[in-house]
Amino acid sequence: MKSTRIWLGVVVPVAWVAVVVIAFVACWARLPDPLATHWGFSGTPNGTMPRIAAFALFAGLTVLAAIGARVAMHRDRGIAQLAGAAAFGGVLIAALGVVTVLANLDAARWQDARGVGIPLALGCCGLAWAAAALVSRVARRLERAPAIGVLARPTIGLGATERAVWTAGAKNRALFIVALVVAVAGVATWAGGGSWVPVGSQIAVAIAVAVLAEVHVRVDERAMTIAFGPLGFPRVRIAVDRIQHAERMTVQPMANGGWGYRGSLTALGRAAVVIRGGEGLRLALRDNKTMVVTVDDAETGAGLINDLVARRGG
Amino acid sequence: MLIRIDAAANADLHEQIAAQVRRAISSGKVAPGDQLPPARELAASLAVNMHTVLRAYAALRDEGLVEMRRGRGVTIANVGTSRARVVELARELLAEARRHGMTLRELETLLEELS
Repeated sequence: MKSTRIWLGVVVPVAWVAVVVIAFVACWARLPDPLATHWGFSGTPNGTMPRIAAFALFAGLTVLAAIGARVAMHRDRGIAQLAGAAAFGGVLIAALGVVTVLANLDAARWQDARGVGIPLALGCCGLAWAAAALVSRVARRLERAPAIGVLARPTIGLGATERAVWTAGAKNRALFIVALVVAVAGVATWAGGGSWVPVGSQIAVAIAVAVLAEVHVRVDERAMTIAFGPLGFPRVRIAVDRIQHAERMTVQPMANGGWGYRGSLTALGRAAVVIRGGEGLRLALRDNKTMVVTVDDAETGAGLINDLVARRGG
Repeated sequence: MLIRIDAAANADLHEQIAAQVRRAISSGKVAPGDQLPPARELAASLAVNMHTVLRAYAALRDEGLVEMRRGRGVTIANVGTSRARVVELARELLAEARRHGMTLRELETLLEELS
């Protein structure tokens, strides 16, 4: 399992990046500048880019695909799809990069580049498709139903006559500093006589970042409330009646698509409030939706939720 | 911070709330500078009167565990973490002494002799 993850998440992606980088670096001096990067239906070159820009484009795109492949390895579900898509993109770009280098090799000007016809382009696609099929086939082995649901669910042993409330939060100081810096920049722009568009957008970004730098979570008999930002606004409320069970989990921001409010309960059925990496609380809702929020002391919160759900005849 | 109270228990509700906060402070679940939930919110969550919560908060302030400042809400005092454990033990000691029919004076004498 571990070695499969390393192969699909590191070795293979590094290989497709390396192919492009090595092809460009090894042939650098033998390439024209600008070089041909686009060919017409007849197979003759008809589009160019500066040599360095073409290199940056091909290398950058393969790196992006490699990041996609790496991220795929950390997901619970959809590993095969994402890893396959990343492999298709990575291998296709790498193949096209190599074709571009070979076509331009030793040409004095870009017009002298060798022709690249439709069969060769299709060949690249075919190669990428084969790689994607192979990768997603192997990646499927990594997909198992998460074992968490089978474990004993946390409980705090709430008695029948007891009433309880749990409050906790999560903070990300780095995001706070970012918000502060952007706000200061906005004020500086305003003081410098900037128009309202850049000033307004900087202030808006500062507020948005500040709101997502801090979260407060409260669980009581009726609902779980997630309040954002230092002012506790906006708020998201999930009624206990809607919850099936809760559990503690470890949140990896990169695997959840980054920081902030990710996904949508209404549209996608999955949402995550990711303030920082680490401890988090996952709610399984009755309508098969999932809500994740990063919060300290999640085990206690999950325990209270489960006890409250049980009391409601969950 | 988990605050749980039991209407069927012997202790008054405000004492139960104060004890829960004290435990949260001494166990490090809340740190100095952290805010306690606003009294109104906590009262609504626990379905108790707001004055019950305010009474608990006032007791904690008198013990030096929290600070109440206008506009800043109720925050855990800087000395809170270390002090909360001492206050907890002192309360336990007092309760135990009472149970055995010991007067406050006798307890004071005992503590003086020990120190």
